[in-house]
Amino acid sequence: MLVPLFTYDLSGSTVLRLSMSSPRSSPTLCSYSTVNAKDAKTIILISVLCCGCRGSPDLVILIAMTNSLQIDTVSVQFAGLRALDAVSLTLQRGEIVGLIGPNGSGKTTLINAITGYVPLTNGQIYVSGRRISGLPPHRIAHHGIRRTFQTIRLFKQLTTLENVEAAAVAAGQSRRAASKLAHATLERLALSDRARQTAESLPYGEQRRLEIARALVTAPPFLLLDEPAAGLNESESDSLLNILIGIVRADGCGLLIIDHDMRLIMRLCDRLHVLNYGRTIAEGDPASVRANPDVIAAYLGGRR
Amino acid sequence: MDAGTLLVQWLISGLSLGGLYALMALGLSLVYSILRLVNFAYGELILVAGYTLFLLNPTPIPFLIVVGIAIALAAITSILTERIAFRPVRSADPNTGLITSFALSALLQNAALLFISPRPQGVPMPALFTDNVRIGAVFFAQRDLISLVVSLVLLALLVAFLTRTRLGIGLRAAADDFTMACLLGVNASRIIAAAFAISGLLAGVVAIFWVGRVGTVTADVGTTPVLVAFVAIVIGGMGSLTGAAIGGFLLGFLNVGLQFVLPSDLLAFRQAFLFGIVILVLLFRPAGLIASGRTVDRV
Repeated sequence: MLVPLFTYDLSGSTVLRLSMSSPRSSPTLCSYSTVNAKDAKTIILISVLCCGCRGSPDLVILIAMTNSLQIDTVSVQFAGLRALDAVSLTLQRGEIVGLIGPNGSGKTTLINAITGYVPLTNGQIYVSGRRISGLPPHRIAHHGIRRTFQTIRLFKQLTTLENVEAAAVAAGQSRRAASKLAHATLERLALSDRARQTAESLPYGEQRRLEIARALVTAPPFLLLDEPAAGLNESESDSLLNILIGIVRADGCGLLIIDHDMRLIMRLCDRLHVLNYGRTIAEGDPASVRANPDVIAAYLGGRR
Repeated sequence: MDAGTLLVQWLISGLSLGGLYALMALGLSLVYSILRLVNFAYGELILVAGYTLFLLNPTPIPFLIVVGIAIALAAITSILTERIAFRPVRSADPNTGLITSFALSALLQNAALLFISPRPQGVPMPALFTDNVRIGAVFFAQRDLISLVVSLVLLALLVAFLTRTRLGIGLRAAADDFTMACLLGVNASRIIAAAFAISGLLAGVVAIFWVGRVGTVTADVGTTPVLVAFVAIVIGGMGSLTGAAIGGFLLGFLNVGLQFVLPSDLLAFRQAFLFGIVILVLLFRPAGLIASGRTVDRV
């Protein structure tokens, strides 16, 4: 039996199949394709087999991490209220996108819609070309999307370690691998000392960090954070975000972040997406968004 | 009797009865903490196991195998009730689930009355269960000691399962915050089915000793156990698994303790005293001994 040395979500990666007439000739490309989640394991197997046969003329090359989360004209209707109206947004791996807008503009609803927490009225959501909208929340999670909530939602009666382990186990890791990953993640977020304490006994700032540890443990390709620094003071939120950025850059995950702290958002994000009354009113780099008259009007009031 | 003897008697009887109560409470609480559903048809799993004991008694199948079949049937019934009755109303109002559980309970009880018998049916227990054993100066029914050992072993296994296995951790996470667990990738249907299966298994084991105590099985055999289990999870703290176990043991010890301390002419009112104490506990700790911090409805 083959025991994988590591597990990694390869969906969306590109596979190149090269053929060589002899072991010393230069390879020629015979086909390429995008890996979907179902095939990801098969591909690993093929590449392992190919590497196993010495002098095999065929090479399989995986180009990983090209996936994106694509939100395509998504609308969400609550009874009489159109909470989201034809919002489109693409999140690439490795980039940090700030989702901003006044209260009630639909930011949290968008995250709820992506994660299958609220149903879409219209539109589709894809991860690397595969439709995830309409799937139950746990299947969406298996496509590598993790979120946190604005209010802390830890498993209160579980220990710090178990909170993170539960997330790894839920993502399909074995018990042993989950424990190992959880310990490593707690280390990264400076929570190792708290491993055996129940989540509810942690101070507020550490509960916030634990939420992020739980979301990060399996190095998900996409991370959606709903006000991760809410309730933290300036130095706490700075240190949290520094840890966060380090991890995001190291793991190459795509981060969609909601926050009201403009100073922080401007400093952190590669791109901003602005919502107002459920519609996209601006998107682009932080400087141009800040100068956009519609954005200023939405925040400060006034005619558009 | 001297104080030491009394203490031993109280400890063993309390542990024995409390262990059964704790197992029942855990079975009920496991489903409640995940689905916010108080499954009043839980008692009917005891009915299923009890009647299985009765129906298979005349056959030449050895007693221990009959016990195994009875426990398995309780677990299977539990899984089937979830699949057939509770799953269709899962996303409805929690009260719909509650009413569904009453309907299911009535259905199963009346099916037993109709197809088996309206009269209590004797379930003879083997000598292993009925013999007495002497500890110090006190005699105990072996059944009580077996039930004590079985429930403690089962509790230990359950704790190991819930803390060490993947499914167990998933179950505890789901019991704490079901939605969050699903958002992390826990399969809702699988975790609910597992909760019902374990719940049924526990009910099956309890049924053996419950029916063994009384010696007969009736259509309403499950009514008292489910009520006791419900009270145990309320005083333990709704939604807390630890609380359910503590509540079960507390009720067991109180019940046995009252038997010792109440004068004989007040013994008939033991239940009144018991529930009086329960009310007192709730006056001081309205959310139960271990509050799960989530007594409000889920959004």
